[in-house]
Amino acid sequence: MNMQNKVSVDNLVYMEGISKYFGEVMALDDVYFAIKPCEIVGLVGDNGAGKSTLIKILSGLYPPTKGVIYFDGKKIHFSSPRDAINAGIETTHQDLALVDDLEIHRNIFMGREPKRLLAGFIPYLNKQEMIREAEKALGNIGIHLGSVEDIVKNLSGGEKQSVSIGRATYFKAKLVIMDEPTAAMSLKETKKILELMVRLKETGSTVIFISHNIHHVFSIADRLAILSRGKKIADLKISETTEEEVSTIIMNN
Amino acid sequence: MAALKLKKSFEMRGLGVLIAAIVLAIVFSIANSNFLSPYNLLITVRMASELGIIAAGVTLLMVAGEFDLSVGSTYALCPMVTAILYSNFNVPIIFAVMVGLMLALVLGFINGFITTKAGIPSFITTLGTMLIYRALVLVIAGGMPIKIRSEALISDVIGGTIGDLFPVAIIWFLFFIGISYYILEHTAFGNKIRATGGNKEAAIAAGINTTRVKIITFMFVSFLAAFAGYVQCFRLGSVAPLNGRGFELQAIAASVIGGTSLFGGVGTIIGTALGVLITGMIKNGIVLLGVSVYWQNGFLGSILIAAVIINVFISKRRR
Ligand SMILES: Nc1ncnc2c1ncn2[C@@H]1O[C@H](COP(=O)(O)OP(=O)(O)O)[C@@H](O)[C@H]1O
Ligand SMILES: [Mg+2]
Repeated sequence: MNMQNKVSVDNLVYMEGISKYFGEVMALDDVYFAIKPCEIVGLVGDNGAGKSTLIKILSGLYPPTKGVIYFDGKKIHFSSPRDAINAGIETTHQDLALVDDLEIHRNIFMGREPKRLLAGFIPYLNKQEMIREAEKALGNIGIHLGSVEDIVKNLSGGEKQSVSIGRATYFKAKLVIMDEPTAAMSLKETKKILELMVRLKETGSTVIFISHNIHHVFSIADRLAILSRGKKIADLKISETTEEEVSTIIMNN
Repeated sequence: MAALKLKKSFEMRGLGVLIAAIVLAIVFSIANSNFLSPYNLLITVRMASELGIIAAGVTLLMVAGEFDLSVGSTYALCPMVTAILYSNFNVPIIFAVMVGLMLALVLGFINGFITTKAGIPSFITTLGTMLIYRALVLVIAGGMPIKIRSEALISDVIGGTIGDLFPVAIIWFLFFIGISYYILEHTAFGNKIRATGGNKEAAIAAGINTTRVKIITFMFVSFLAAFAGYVQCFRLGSVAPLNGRGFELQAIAASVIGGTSLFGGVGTIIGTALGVLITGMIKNGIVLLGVSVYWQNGFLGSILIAAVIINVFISKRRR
């Protein structure tokens, strides 16, 4: 077995030499990123470093300009988010999370609406199940909103992020990616989400956690990667580094 | 609980349309006591039904975030193809109708395919195909109306009357309103339509194939437009090449009066049905009041603006 195969088998995710250009803009430059099963990996770096772009490639939204991705031991090629979801990758995106005019339960199940048959042959949206399971999805993460039949528009930023996270964690994915999930959250809400990520790890999921708050990353992650201007400049075990060291690396780039 | 439900329904975006429909009904019935007679109500609904079939589809499409300005041309083109196949080529009427309905699906596919693959606004795509499809009608018909009198059952089923009085058109109107309501509110596809029009990027990230959703919805609208065309041509026994002109905007007006957003993601079939009934009341009420029919679209325009103002007012009050 050659080196490459070993790397792709040992890791749940192995992104190899990923570059991404938007026209002339280089968002990612030859990034190698490996994630072991059942670990929480923090992804940090300044605004515009390329964090969101990297995970959008992993979640099937963008094809990489260059590079190869292995997931679960296999080389994969996602042509749409659907492929990534089917492979077992759930994502809460920073910017394009929810449909404002859609009710909470319809948001949580959009794209995967539960059906039942009426009179044995007429497909029918199973609203009872959607509502019940949406409540469960939010209950799982310790969030209780007035009614899951309200539209998302009237929720606070933190509540919207909770719905988005409820959605990403409901389906028991192998890999859960969270892109700045706590940016709009209160301290109390944030604490719940950090605990949630630890629970996800304990129940066998792998988590990528993007955050600006290095302290939050240190409190739960096993490892952390630092991006700067499209390059990965460090990949450290939490147990072998300190918050000060990481801050210094980010500052000095 | 009941109070909450009541509050909710008052906050409904489509409240404007309900007010407008009721006010209009009251005004017309004061002006002419015949307005609310069963026979006249039947006429009113009949007058609304062809537009209503189209508007149901147009609403789905607008909720998906797209427009179709070609429905009026499709409304004429498909029955015209049928009339020519039937009258000039002796194709059995049932096959001629099936060819026309299949053509409708193709026309809708063209609208959806160009819009999604070229990434241009459907307003432009369908403005173009509106002109193209209309040109085709005029060319194949040589500018002349074509008779489509047929004793076949299908003619009665699509455009006849039950007994001497009750137009089948009303049943088709209710049927397609029901189908569209079912699709939008009670199917997974309906949820995908709302997600696609509400926030396309979020829908894509959630794994929805928005291109597919849009193309299918375009095809559905075209099918309804053609079907409405058959309802009319079998009722009248002929197809005129300028049939359906103006329907594209009237259908959008009826949808918007009913609370459908121009920006996608929001709209209800019930609202549209009420919006369509308003257009029927206007058409009929104007005749009853002895007002010149030239005023018809003027009335519709005023109500469009009034209903939208009420809706905007309501949604502002909610914040
Ligand atoms: N869709 C896009 N089109 C053009 N440029 C983009 C696009 N998305 C991201 N970029 C650019 O790529 C770089 C990385 O962005 P991003 O991945 O969002 O950074 P981060 O999430 O680390 O803040 C930035 O310079 C950004 O302007
Ligand atoms: Mg980002």
